[in-house]
Amino acid sequence: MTLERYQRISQLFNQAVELSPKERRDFPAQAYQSDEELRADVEKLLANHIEAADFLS
Amino acid sequence: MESSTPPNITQLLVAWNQGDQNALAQLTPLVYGELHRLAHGYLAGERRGHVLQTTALVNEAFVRLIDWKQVEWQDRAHFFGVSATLMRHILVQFAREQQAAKRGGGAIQVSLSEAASVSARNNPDLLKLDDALTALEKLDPRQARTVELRFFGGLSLEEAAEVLRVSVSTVRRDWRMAQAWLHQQLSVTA
Repeated sequence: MTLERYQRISQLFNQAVELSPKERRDFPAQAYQSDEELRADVEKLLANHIEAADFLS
Repeated sequence: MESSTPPNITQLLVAWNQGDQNALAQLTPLVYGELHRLAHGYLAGERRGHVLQTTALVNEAFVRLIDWKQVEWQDRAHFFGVSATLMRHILVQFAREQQAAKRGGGAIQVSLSEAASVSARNNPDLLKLDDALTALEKLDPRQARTVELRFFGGLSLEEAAEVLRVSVSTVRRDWRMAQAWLHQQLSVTA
């Protein structure tokens, strides 16, 4: 993964994570601009975020 | 317990926080020595598969080495910041030695939780975590450093913000992302 890609994923992840479930449904279209791989990466992290709530802490 | 605390360690910490880089060079081996000694003593008398409380060890080193009544909480945060890096190094080294000795059996488990019952997810494979953190350092150094401070140093969000000189909300975002990403990396390679 490139540095730019990781930064972009970080940014989108942190935006999405603070949205309500309803807002999150509308989020993809504008945010990912048909970059399906980017969308998949962010969504995988969002799923991990829930599982990882007390990981390392 | 040893007789007395070396008087200069507190001064070195304060001097370093005031910008004296030379003080850090003198401070580091002293902190490393104490952490190594504490960690080794802790592990020597224990059965394999136990949980090592990193926060407790760093705290103990702090209490032994620093005249904490003389330092501000910011100084304390910076001490824990230095300790976090050293703690990571010491624990990873122990895990390597143990893996070599026991061919992977009885890996040291590490937890920051002070609770008696600790879930498995807080006891990651240290060598895999170290590798993933090294990869993260290349993608986002500040996120990697945040994990080091929080996990190996036991710093709070506020203390990590002081050490990194960023806002608490930045630390919270970095931590959240790094946590999810590392969790994913460790799940994939498990």
